[in-house]
Amino acid sequence: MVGSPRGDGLGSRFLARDRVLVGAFLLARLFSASGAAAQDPCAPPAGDTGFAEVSVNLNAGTFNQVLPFDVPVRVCGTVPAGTTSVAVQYVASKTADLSIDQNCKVLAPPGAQLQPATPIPARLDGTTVRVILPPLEAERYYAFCFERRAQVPEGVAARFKMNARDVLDRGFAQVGTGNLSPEQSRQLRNELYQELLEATGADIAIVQGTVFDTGTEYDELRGKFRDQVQKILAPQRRRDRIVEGNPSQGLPSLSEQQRDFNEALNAVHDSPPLAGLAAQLEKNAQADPTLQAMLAGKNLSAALALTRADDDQLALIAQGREPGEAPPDLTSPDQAVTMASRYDDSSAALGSLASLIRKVVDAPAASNLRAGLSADDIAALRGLIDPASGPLAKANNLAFTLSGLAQDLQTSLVERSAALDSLADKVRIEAAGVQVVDGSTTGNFATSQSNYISADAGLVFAPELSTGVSYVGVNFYFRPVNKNADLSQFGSFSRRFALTLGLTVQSLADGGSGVAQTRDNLFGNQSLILGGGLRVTNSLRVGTGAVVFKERDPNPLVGKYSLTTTYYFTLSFDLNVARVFQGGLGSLFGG
Amino acid sequence: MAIQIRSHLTASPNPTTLPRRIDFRQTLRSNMDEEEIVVVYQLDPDHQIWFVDGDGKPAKTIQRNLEVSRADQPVLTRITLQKGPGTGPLTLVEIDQTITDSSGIKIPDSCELGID
Repeated sequence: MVGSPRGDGLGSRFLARDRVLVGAFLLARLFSASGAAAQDPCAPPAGDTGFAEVSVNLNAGTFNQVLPFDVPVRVCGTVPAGTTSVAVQYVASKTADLSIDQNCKVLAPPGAQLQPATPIPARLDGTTVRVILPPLEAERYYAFCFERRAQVPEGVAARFKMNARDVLDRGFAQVGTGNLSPEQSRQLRNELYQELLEATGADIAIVQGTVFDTGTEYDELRGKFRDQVQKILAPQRRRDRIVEGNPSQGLPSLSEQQRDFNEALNAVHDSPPLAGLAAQLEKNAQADPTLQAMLAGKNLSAALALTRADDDQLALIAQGREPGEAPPDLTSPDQAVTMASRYDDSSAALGSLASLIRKVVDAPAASNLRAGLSADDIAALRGLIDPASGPLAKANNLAFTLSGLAQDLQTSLVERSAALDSLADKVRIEAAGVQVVDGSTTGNFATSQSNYISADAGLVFAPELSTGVSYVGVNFYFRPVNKNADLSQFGSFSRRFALTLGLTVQSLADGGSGVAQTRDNLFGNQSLILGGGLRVTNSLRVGTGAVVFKERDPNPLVGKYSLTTTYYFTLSFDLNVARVFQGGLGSLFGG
Repeated sequence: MAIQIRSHLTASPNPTTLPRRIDFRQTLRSNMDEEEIVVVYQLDPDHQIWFVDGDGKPAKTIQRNLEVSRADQPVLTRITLQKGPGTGPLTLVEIDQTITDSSGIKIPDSCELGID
């Protein structure tokens, strides 16, 4: 989208190469179908438009010719579909070090500025853009900035949605409370804006009144989109409080709850009466099929396994993990669900164990269930399941609680994710309504740097000779001159004045027919014209100077000729020599 | 002896203008047939939103005692909120809830209230 500025100051060299290329191109065009020209929206019109027609390639940042001067320039180029407007500024310099970057920032020379202050609006016709520039100055270097505005295409907006969601995800994660502050909102909106520029490749986006507006008067995250923000922050805060707790509120973190669970599990595991009960029950089960079936149940077998587990296994159970599993990712809803399921299993196992112990301690002393257990063992077992202080009751409660917390964590994560999707979609819709602005810059292009030379033909009258003849010559200007420029607007002395060097077409020699010859031509039948003149119109000029011819010695006995001069006046046509070779004699009077 | 949150805390009406009595709803369950719990609602101490306590005085903390059963049990708590001294203006306010079950285990819930 952005042209490639050439800041190397090699514009004239580039132009020389460019002219060769253009020449080759024109030759090729001679053999191509005329229809091809019709397909080029920037092909110059056949008639005289009153403008110098120039094409620009905004991708390459180049013009198709040396920039004309002293005449209005109509620049034509093509822009991407979706462009809504184009405006142009330029910077001029007398030195070749002119440089402008891709963002239309003038890099050199110091003091150079983009002009005009208000960019020149271009006319847009589909993807063809035309803009009329004011007359440029000769012997200058120019660089142009084409500011393009466009709607964000739907496809780009759709892709941007994913990036916007990431920005919102990261940004809201930094909000440590449920109260989005103006500064937090501004920062988030700024990050969205930067992401929008990144996604569109634009330099600027017109975002006033949108969620990308970082101004203080428009805060859409705390205004229009407050409900969506609320739906993100509410589950986020729930998740944060579950995972991190809040010491000032006496709320333990998830890991602290898990540590408490681990301690309770260890207390259960370390109970000798419980280990004795487990061993005795397994021994009795060998002779009692009913007891054997009961102990083989899922929950009781898991509970009895607890009594045989080592410290590491208990720690894994407390974390809702199984051996070989990595620590759960607390940002993953799926892993939260798995944790909840594991805690449910632990709670069920601990509940079954508590029920079994209750059966044992409540059984008659002669019951098989109490075989091998002393009264102290029974008291210790009763203590394990005491609702107020028993470690088994506590472990069961913590397993139940942790299951609930893991489920809360899962729903919070899912709700937050869905709310982020919803807000990102609304941001996408906002993005599709935004106008983005990018700058295409051209390289450093020069107007003509060569002094103008024109052909001159007219009448010369030498009063002292009392004769007038026609002459042809050459006019040397001391600056570039554009013959298409209106002299009434660009009629400075330097644009009008030129030195003239010419030869008379007719002879200035006299004599013959019995009259004595007093003068002769300088060369054969021509005498030399040396002088200067001023253009009074684009092609008509008046001049004066000296005619150089030969004069015969006044002594009739001496037949010697010597050089002499006399003043003259001329009225002539200033002809464009270059056009003779380009467009035939018909264009002699053109620029 | 332990509590689970079956549906999270919500506030109604939301958003709202203040002062206004707000209905806080959620669904809880216990692993016991009946369990006494303590529910504490808290607001950030620095901002301008306050509860109104039973004596009509502004407060940053409100406590309620509830009984929860083994079946899912919808719970409704009505608390009046108002504006007072503190930082602001706020467009969203976080209301934190801490539930303490009969065994002393604490679990969190919270909600966001939009302020017009």
